Amino acid sequence: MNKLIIAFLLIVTLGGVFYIINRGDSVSSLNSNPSYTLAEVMERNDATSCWSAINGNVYDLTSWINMHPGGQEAILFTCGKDATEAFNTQHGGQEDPMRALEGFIIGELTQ
Amino acid sequence: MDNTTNTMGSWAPVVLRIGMSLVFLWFGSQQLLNPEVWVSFVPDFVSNIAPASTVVLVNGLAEIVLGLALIIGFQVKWVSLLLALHLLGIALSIGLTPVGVRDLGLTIATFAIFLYGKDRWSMN
Repeated sequence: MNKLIIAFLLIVTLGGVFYIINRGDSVSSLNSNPSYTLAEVMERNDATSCWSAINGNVYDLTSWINMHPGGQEAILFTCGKDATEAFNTQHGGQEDPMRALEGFIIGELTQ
Repeated sequence: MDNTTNTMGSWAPVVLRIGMSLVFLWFGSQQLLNPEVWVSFVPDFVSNIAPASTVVLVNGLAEIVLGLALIIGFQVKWVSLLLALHLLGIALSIGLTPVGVRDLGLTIATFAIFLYGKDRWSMN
């Protein structure tokens, strides 16, 4: 029974490693810093796809909507917009929100 | 009444073990599915060694594997000790915030599993 459990846990671990490697490929492709226009950001303006431009970068905040400590509305308000002023007014100079935002960056804002 | 109390009490470690397992399984799966949400929790000294998103993914996988071992009841003492130490590190890095205090409580609960060890439903 112990060997069966060990084998099961090993299989789960290997499966997870493959998932991480594949996930890592998709993440690393984002590191090439693509550029997006504000028009492209404005197309993603709701809870199903929420992009926001802040301080010259573009962020995909879709998965953050339900996780934002200040509630969904604050994030939904920024969907499809340049939310630089709103973000800086609310979170300017605060380390934690800045660090949290870094995880969602998908590219740069271009004219 | 004493027999009933004793019977109920004997289930307490099982309930605690399964409950904590579900916590680790949930948070582990969330880290694998949405790593970008958890990147901000990676301490600077760790993200200086490896990309924060990779750290989150590996951490999520570890929590799932250990969470599965815990819910099955496999090597309960060592698995729970590992998870308790892991969670202690997270709680200390988060600090004295609502989340940090909550995680410290969960650390203590996981450590209680280690102290109790094998329960009536664990494997060995």
